[in-house]
Amino acid sequence: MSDAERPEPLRVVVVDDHSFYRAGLSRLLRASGVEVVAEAPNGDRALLDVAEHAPDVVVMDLNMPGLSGIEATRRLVETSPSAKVLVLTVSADEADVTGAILAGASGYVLKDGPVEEVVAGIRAVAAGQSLISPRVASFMLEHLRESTADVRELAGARLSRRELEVLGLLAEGRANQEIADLLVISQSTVRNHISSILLKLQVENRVQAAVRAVRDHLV
Amino acid sequence: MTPTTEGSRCAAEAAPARHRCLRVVIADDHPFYRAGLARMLERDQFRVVAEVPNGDATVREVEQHRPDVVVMDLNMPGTSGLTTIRRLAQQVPATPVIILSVSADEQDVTDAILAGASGYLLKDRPHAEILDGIRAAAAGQAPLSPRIAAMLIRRLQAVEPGDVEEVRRMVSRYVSRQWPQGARLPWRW
Repeated sequence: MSDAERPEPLRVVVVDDHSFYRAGLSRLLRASGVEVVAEAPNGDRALLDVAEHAPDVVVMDLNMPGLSGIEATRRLVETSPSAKVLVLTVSADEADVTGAILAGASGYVLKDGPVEEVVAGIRAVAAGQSLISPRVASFMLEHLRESTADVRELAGARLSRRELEVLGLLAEGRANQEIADLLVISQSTVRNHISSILLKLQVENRVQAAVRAVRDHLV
Repeated sequence: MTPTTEGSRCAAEAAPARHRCLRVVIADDHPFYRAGLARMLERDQFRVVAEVPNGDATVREVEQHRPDVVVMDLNMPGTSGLTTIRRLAQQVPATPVIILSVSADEQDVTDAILAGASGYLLKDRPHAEILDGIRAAAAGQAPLSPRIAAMLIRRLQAVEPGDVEEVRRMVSRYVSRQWPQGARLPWRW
């Protein structure tokens, strides 16, 4: 491949409080064609390095002194959304996995895997995809199953995903026409969804009281 | 239906566990794809104990052979993929079922996972990645192709009501906005 054809290497900031690990990982990443533009020993430094270097990916450890990896991830996702966060940690703990994902991490790789997995993770998140170590992905699947079950059990007859979307937009104060435009459906369809939602929620005893309370302006 | 042993590098069934190959049932209605996948697996220390073209045969062969993992397409003729996953989850709960599909449709993925699939791989991924995924599923893990993982992460990260309180709040907000004077709710439109 000529220089003109060679793709630009991905630019990465490595964040880890163990200097030997950081140095070793950076060396391995460089050998794999990834450009390490900065190495940070903690979350606060990471925020500065990302602001300065605008990397494609931030490889983030979780257990660091000071600003935690999860909190640093949350802040990075807010302030530098173009930099994807790939968590690289020893922890296979469910709270860490769920916490990192909900904080906005795009991937989660365990440290005891081969460096190829880290490189694959960097490439995947840079491309807008994700890599989750299979060992911890089951937590995510469980979370998905539980949250879907909660919502579906809510009204005896289930609220469909579309009905939930409409309900969410209603709660934001959107008008029917706005909802119709956003969901690319007709206004009459929106009204049908609303009727269905209200009827279904009427059937569910726990929510019935709340609706009645609002209607009778007791809330 | 046809156990494939030709070209297998696996040690005999009676060998100690660490030498034993992973036993797999393949379910896909395209015979060429099935044969190609079987060959790929056999070259990589799997033993394909059965290849089947539909859901009913999948359940039958899995119950008979009790493989370490089932690799299944979603769209096969006859009994739906989802029903097959559910039956397998009920009848052979200890056997992981992984989907290997062309579909990256969010509904397909979500339905498969909710029905009990342990993982979801896309057919257009590199062979090594698919093989690693199948091996991970056999080990009780949850392999997801990168595009699928991204989709699930987005779902989890999206704000979704997960409990009664949240829906209550949403309904209250809606009702207060629509009828600030607290008028009677019109249940019919």
